[in-house]
Amino acid sequence: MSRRQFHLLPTATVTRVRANRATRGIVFSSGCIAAVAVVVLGLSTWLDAFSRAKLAAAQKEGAPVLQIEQEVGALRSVERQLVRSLALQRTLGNTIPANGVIRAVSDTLPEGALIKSITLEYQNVQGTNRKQRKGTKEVENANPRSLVCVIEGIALDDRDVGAIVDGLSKLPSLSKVSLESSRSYEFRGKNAREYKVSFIADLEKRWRLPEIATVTESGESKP
Amino acid sequence: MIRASGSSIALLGASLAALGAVIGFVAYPAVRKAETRALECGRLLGRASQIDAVTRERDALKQRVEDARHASRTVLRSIPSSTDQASLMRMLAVSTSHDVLTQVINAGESIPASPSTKSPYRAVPVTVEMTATFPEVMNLLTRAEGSDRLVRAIKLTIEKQPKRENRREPDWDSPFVKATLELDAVYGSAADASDEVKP
Repeated sequence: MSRRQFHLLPTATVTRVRANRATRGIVFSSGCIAAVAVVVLGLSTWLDAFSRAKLAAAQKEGAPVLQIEQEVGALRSVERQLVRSLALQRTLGNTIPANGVIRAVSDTLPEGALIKSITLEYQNVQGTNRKQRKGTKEVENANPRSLVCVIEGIALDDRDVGAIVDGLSKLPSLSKVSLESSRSYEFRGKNAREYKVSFIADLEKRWRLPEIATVTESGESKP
Repeated sequence: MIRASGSSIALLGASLAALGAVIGFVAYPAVRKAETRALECGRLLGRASQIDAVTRERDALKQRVEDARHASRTVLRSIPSSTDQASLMRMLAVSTSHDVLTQVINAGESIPASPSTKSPYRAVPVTVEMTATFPEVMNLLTRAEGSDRLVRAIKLTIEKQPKRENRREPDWDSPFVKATLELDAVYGSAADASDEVKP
């Protein structure tokens, strides 16, 4: 025997009742979701306030350390500035001053040796006003800075000339010390040797920076 | 087909949007902030427990900076923002005396201080030609290179004064030398004042 369901209510009424039921379900779900949103909002606010309070407490406890850390930061900044300034000084300044080279050269001369002329040239330290061609790329350190020095003078004999070359070779900042010429020369009626010596100093090496001279009351400067 | 009312569907959409907004704009940032704060709390409490070590670190750094400052004071030259040629000339000029026969100072057009085109610093070339005793020339050179302003030697020639009768022969009896000192003084533009070096 087959059963057949049928409503006594009209179909339109049944549909409206079902639609109302579905609407109530959706409204209930919306309410639940809104409640969850409110709870999440509450929890988030509480979490924010809680973490802020904890951080404030930790900051209070660590205030002295924070202050010290600020001091450390300021000191590091000063240290960085000093390092930058020294690096700039190395880039722009001559680490081997000319007066130091001349003094060192005169200290190495043996007794009786004289200097006729001395020429010092610092190469690749300056820029140029000439405009660089478009499309040519700048090559950093393409030509390293160097000091080229040539001294000419007279010595008593060849042994003294050799002593001058040896003395200059021993100076740590100089390299490629070479005797360019040595020839006989008459000096005040006596036989002597006229010499020409050249050498190079590498200015790119990390030499100790030259000190600022202190000026004495008489106006003389001392290195 | 059963259809819920449009307003209920709109309500569902609005509540979902509200939940999304709460999660996206409030809950998630709050959790992130809480995590960051927890880390900071941990770091602070950890540092607070090491106050002695931090103090020692500060004192050591202070000493190091003081030493570096003291050391750099003796070597660090100033780079003025302008050419300041007047003080440069004052520094290089020497009056004639029995030790200084002649002195000529010529200043040139400023050039870049470094071959690097990126460097903002420029230099004023100055040529000093003088006939004086060797100590006087050395005195001037030492004063220029040892000044608290960054002055560089570029090319120097010092030679014994030649004989009057034979200009190719040095006059060994004369106490004078003929010196040509090409120097340049570095300066930086005002725009780069932040990099200005002060001892």
